[in-house]
Amino acid sequence: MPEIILEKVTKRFDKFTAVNELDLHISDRGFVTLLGPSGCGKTTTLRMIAGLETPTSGRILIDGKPVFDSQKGINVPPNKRDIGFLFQNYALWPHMTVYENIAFGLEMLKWDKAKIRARVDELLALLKIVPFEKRYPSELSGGQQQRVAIARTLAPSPKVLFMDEPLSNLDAKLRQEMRTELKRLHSDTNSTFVYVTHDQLEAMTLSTQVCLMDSGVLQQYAPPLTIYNQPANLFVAEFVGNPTINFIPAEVKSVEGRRARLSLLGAEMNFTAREPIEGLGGEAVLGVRPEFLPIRDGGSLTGTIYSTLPTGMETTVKAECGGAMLTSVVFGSVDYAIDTRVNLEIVGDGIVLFDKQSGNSVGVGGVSRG
Amino acid sequence: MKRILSVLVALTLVFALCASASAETVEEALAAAAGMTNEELYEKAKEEMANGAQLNFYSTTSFAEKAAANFMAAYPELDGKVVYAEIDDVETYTILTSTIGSGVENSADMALTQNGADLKTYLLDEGLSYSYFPAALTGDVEEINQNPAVVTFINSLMIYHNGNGSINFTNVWELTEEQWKDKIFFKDPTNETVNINFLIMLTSEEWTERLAKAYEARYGKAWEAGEFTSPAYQWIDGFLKNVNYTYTSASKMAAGVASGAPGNMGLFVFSKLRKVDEADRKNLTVLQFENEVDCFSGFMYAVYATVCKDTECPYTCALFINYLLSEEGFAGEKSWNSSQGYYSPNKTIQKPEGLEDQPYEYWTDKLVFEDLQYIYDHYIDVYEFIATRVG
Amino acid sequence: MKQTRANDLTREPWRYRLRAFLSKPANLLLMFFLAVLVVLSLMPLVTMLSNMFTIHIGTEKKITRMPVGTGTLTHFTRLFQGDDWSRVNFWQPLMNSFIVALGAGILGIAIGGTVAWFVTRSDLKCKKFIASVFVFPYMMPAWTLALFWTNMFQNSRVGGGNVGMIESIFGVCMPEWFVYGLFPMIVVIGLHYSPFAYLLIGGILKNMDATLEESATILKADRFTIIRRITVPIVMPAILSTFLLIFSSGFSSYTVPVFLGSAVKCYTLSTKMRALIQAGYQGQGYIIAFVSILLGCIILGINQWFTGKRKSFTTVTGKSGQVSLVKLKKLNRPISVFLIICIVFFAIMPLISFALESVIRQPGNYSLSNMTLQFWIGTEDSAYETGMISGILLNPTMWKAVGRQVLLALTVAMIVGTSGMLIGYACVRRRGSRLARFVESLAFFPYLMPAMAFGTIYLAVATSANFKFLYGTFGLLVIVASIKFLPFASRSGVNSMLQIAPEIEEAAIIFGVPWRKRMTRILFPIQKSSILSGYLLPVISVMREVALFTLLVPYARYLLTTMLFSFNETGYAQYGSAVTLLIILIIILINAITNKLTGASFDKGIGG
Repeated sequence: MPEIILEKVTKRFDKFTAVNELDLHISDRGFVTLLGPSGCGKTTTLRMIAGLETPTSGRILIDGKPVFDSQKGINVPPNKRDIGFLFQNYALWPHMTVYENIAFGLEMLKWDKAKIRARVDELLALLKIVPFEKRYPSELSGGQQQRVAIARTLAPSPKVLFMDEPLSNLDAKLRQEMRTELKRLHSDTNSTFVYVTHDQLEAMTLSTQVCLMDSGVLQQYAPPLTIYNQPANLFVAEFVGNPTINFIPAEVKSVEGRRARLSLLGAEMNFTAREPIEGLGGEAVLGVRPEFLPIRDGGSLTGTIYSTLPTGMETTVKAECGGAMLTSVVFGSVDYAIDTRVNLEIVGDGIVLFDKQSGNSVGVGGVSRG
Repeated sequence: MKRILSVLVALTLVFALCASASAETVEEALAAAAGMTNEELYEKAKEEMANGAQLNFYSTTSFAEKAAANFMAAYPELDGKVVYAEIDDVETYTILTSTIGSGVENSADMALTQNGADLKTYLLDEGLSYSYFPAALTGDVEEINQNPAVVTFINSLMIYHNGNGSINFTNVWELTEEQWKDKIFFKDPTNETVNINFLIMLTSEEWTERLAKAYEARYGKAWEAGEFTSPAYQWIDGFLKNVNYTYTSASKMAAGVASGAPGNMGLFVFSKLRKVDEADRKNLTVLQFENEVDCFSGFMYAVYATVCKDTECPYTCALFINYLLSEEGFAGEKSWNSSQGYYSPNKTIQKPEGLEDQPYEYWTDKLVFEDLQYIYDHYIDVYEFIATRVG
Repeated sequence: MKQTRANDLTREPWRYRLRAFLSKPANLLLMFFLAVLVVLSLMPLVTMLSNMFTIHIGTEKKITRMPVGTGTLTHFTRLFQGDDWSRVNFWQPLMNSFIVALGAGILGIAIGGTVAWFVTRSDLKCKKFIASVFVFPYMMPAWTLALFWTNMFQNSRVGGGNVGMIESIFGVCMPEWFVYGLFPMIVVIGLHYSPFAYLLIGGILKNMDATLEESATILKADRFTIIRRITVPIVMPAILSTFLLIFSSGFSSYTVPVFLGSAVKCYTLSTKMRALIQAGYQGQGYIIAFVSILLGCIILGINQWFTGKRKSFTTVTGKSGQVSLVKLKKLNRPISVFLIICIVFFAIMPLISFALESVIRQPGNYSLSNMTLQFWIGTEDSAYETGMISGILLNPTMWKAVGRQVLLALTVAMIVGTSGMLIGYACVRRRGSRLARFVESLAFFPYLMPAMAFGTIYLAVATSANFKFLYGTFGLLVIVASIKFLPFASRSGVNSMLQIAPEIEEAAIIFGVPWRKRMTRILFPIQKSSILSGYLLPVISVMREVALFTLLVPYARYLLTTMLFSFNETGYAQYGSAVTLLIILIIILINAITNKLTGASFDKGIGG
């Protein structure tokens, strides 16, 4: 039911444009992440939806009702927007105990004491923080504070829950744990989550939709796998995925329907897209995910090993090839001596072709020799 | 054995005599100076100045500064080495007791100070300063004003706003009555020493008697001991209950009473009357000039000159004191005598014509004069009595 | 032979330890300041303590018939006998001081806190003006506000019946309790310190994590609930410690009760102390001084107890640039107009009032015919009437006094600012060590000592055999003022050094940068603005200090402030007003120049 719509939302601070004409449609019960490098405008976007920041222009609708409309002069204050907000630093009130922190929002709703008690107990149990009820925030660890903050946000059962990098202050292990719980919580609470992060892995693992932004401009809004497999442009392709995608510069010899003939790294190849290629100029960039660039005897590309980084389950190999540094992921643990000559092959049908000038994706498909 | 001892004693005595003969003490110099003429003193003073001395002269009044300037003009060969230093009235004795004899640079050689009892307590009794009086003037100045030497008298008078002549005031006991509540302006006696001295003097035998008489005149019955053991204490108690401390300076008090409500009275330094605007002057009745009052119409206090024990120029100090006591010094250009409310103890000096004032003798039986010995002896009892009525 | 070897073994570690200890500049600094402060700060206290138990020259000697210097308990038995004397000289003034301090503390916090909230948290109009002018009353000497108060509100029904500005313009007569006594003392001291509260609380509000309030907004709390339940409790520790500072300043305030209290026989402990000392009851006066110090220590203790507890919240976190300002909407204009009127009244009107008072011949008459510039530029002849040699602008004595005061202020600022920074450095580097704690509290101690008692004790020291070369010199004033004003500088030094991570200095140590260079090239530039502000605060303090200097100047017209005080005592009201105006203008000017040149300003020094 609560559906959030942003129409041409712009936010300027003096001359600096933090968000530029953003259109966004967040559907009910989704788990949407606003992803992007720091300073891309994602937090500002979130705060505008929550009503903590006033947009310069545009329109925001929550649940069909405009909460902000620069033309009609509508600006509903945050406390009337029926939302929850989880802050990066938790923003727990230091002078209140855990119980008081969680109960505060319910008091504001004028619940009676017994009901508050019951609801707080429920949340304490849900978030496994029952023993800390009487403690002050400064007496809790980071993870415990995080849980209290979540409990406080969830207490009034908001229909939309905004989270601003809630896991960034936690250590790696705890972060992993909390991710699992957040995802679980999302399905348990049955509400819409809007989540800000700069961690692409977090976005990939948690969300149903990723909204990738850069410099105040929306880059791509799609489910995580779509973002990964069919990045809309070079920025998206590079930002998502670890190890990073390989960009191989290519010269376009000819384009015909779904086919393009490319010259790259001293070899000529055919690129066959799933759909007809449009908007390709003379120069292109071939985006090859490391898992589509295995080391294979007799592969069409030749390189020398630069370094080998085994993680146990897989090995990331970096090789120099025709002046470019390519990354390849090999399953299992392999070790190559430095400067060994190896052959690489571009395989699979998840290769993305970008027009160099616009940076936009022009097609996804496979590459064949010849 | 005995002989050796007596020889030793004799030797010590001789040494002591020699030592004292070679370096004349300040006390001796002052004794010698008292018998000298001004010319002789001038010669001695020139010697002192030539030896590198300088007369640091501490005082609280700006008239003294002018007098010092006149003095230097009169004795030009002193090279203008009389340096005036203004000293905070309230802190005078704190500063002087600490600095005199401590050897600090530019400490006082001579000081003009008010409040004789404190002068005696802090400086004379402690041997920090000496009084000096020239023999030549003993006939012109009453003996009581010679030791220590009074340089000038200053009077504080009861002056009130007469409401165009509608208000008449004749007896000091009126001031203890309800009608004067908050209408008498007087500086806080615990802060203003001359004021507390005035109140202390009232407890003396003379003023106790006079207050008793005035009491009878006012109420038609003899004063009787009751809550208070003396009419003076009763008067002080009643008076302080009515006193208003709004003004902390005499100038403001003078101007304020003159321009304020009819029936207000100030007991303040007469000379400050010059601060009153011409137009307002007619509002004021200065007691004693314009009507007689039973008992007293104010009080008179003195400024004393003493010479500090560690001065290097006792003769210059003596010459300066002579000068201050002379007509030339006291009545010189822009000096004390040119203003109302300052009186030389030297009876040969009259107030100039045309000044709204009367000479010293006129005031002697009308004002409560400061007797430093009496105050010295009774300070504590009366202070505590008063202090508990002021706070 | 063997024995000496054994001795060497036990001796050497000790020697090494000493050498290691002395090789750290922080330790050397601490040792240095320990020595200096024990002499200059602890000694006056010891002197004062002994003064409470000995007979002094004058009255005490006469009463007790004991020689000067005899040990005695008579001062205590007299002061606490329980009769009228005790009531009038101790209990009543104690009560008054307490009421004034409490009232001033509450008022100062209320005004300063409210303005701080509006300026940091709302979209109030004319913020810049309000913020910059609001601090004026703190730059002005407190007694100038007291003088201003009486100039304004005295009226024909109160006290002397002199007509003040309000009555002559609006015809309104204020009742006596409004013009003199505890109420105006509370108002004046409260107003004087409200900028102080504003700066401290404002600093915290500005740095306070905005999300703490935002999260409450989202949980549907309204504005007032947020202020009541979130903002105020979080700022509470700061409010409390500000309150305590104002409380103890108000408690020991001397000049304000003199101007506003003596008219109605309203004494506080500090005015009583002076009256007693002056009347010859030095011993009892010092007991009163000691009581003030004791109370100050208790307050300091309470403060530390609070800041040491969980109750002190570290509210300053990383993300704080996103404060969303509360929209006052319709209330914006009325509130800002109201604030501006109040500020103009208390910050700008005094200046106008002093200017006016300095040009009228007869007080209370503000007609043009009564005005004259004699008191400013009168020549010798015409100025005779006024009692001074000439108008103040043409008077060389007065210009010398200005020069000395400014020079004193700058010298003291250099010493105090530098010492404060070095003490801050040393105490922070050796934090937790007993030595550092001791030096830190020694440096803060002079704050608690009433200026008057401080001056009296230093007078005794400077006239004693060993130090007599000091008396009447400029150097003595420099020493005394430096010690007296060290507390705030050392505090701000500690605070600013605390903000520099030790790694920053350690990185330089590894490069072999010598200590002096580390200070001048690394630490100082990093905290430049806050350290410079530490230099500025003493300038202002010296420019307006009176009580500390009255006993130590060679003559009353030596400094501008002591000159002013004697003007006021002798009743040269116009000269007094003119000099007051001059002092305020010099302070504002110095602050403005420093601000322009370096970006530092005294208000930054307070927040630390």
